[in-house]
Amino acid sequence: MNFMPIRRVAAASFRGTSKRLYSSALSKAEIEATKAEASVGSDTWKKISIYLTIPLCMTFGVVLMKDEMEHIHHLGEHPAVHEPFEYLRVHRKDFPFGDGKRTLFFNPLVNEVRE
Amino acid sequence: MQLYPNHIVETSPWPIVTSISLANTLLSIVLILQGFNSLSLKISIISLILSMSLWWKDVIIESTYQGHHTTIVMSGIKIGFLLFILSEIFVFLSVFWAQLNAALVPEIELGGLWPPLGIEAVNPFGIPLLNTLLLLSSGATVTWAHYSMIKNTNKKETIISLFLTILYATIFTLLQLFEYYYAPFSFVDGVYGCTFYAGTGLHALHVLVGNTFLIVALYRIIKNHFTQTHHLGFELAIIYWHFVDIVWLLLFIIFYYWAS
Repeated sequence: MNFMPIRRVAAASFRGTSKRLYSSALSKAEIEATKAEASVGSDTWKKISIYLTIPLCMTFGVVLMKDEMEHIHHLGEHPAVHEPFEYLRVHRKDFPFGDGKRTLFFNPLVNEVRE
Repeated sequence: MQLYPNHIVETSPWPIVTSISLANTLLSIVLILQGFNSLSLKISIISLILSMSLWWKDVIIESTYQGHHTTIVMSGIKIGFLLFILSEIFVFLSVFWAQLNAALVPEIELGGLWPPLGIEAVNPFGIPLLNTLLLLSSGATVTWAHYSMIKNTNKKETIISLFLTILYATIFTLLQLFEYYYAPFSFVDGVYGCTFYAGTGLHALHVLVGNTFLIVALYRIIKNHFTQTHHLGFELAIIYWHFVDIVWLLLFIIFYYWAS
């Protein structure tokens, strides 16, 4: 039993077919090309991230949350009207959480318990 | 030296443990529907999260310290992950189907209206619009993180951009909680509440998972687990995040804008 020839043949065949069978075996030229491409992409998306997304989210965040807070304040003054339709607040069994009567995100300002 | 590019996995307890945890979770949900309490569900969810974490810990060890993730193995994992995304698409398809089935021709009992009589919809141009902007922004910052990782000159830049992505995702989750708390209807309010919370809730769960995936990628970047040419965990987190992003755009159009 001599395994050496088989081993050598296998190793040679791997070298011949593709270096990339093992993940870090990119050629130097390939790595440089990828780096150059990524460097341009990185700059573009850095600009978009910093100069576009941050101001956009901040502006819309302030404006929309202000509206939302006004709406909530308004709810405090004029509580929601709960219509007695039979397809609303369907509750035939107790929930497996809390006291079993209130839904998961229960808020007395907007929700109602139907026994 | 190993002369073949495949990874012959060692015996592991995690497939059977994860399977049993999953089966327990399923049975516990059936028990709850039959009026039992939720103790069994809590235990099985904890054991599910625990077994998944320990399994993935093993996968990270196989890829880093043991070096089993050759290009062929990486390609196999990638194909598996893309098939997983495909199955996720069909999960969401069923929820969208339920919504459109109920919304396109509303039942006469609901007043023939959508949203039904007595239900006040969420304003789509409030928090949902802000959430859309946050998710689109996180898509941009995660692209920045990926390019700067491939550029391979400045690790700090990758960390900052990925941190920004995680920050956007966390704000999204908190705003979604806020919206649920102040929503004028709940999941017991007929088919409208049902499909709304099934759709947005399923998506919110995916945001939580995607955010955890990104946080794990950030931890692994800090710990130098990734290189310029070898960062599959990060790449898959990015693919998953873009999937969650695209689903949100459809949710925003169909569940928020169209149904208000």
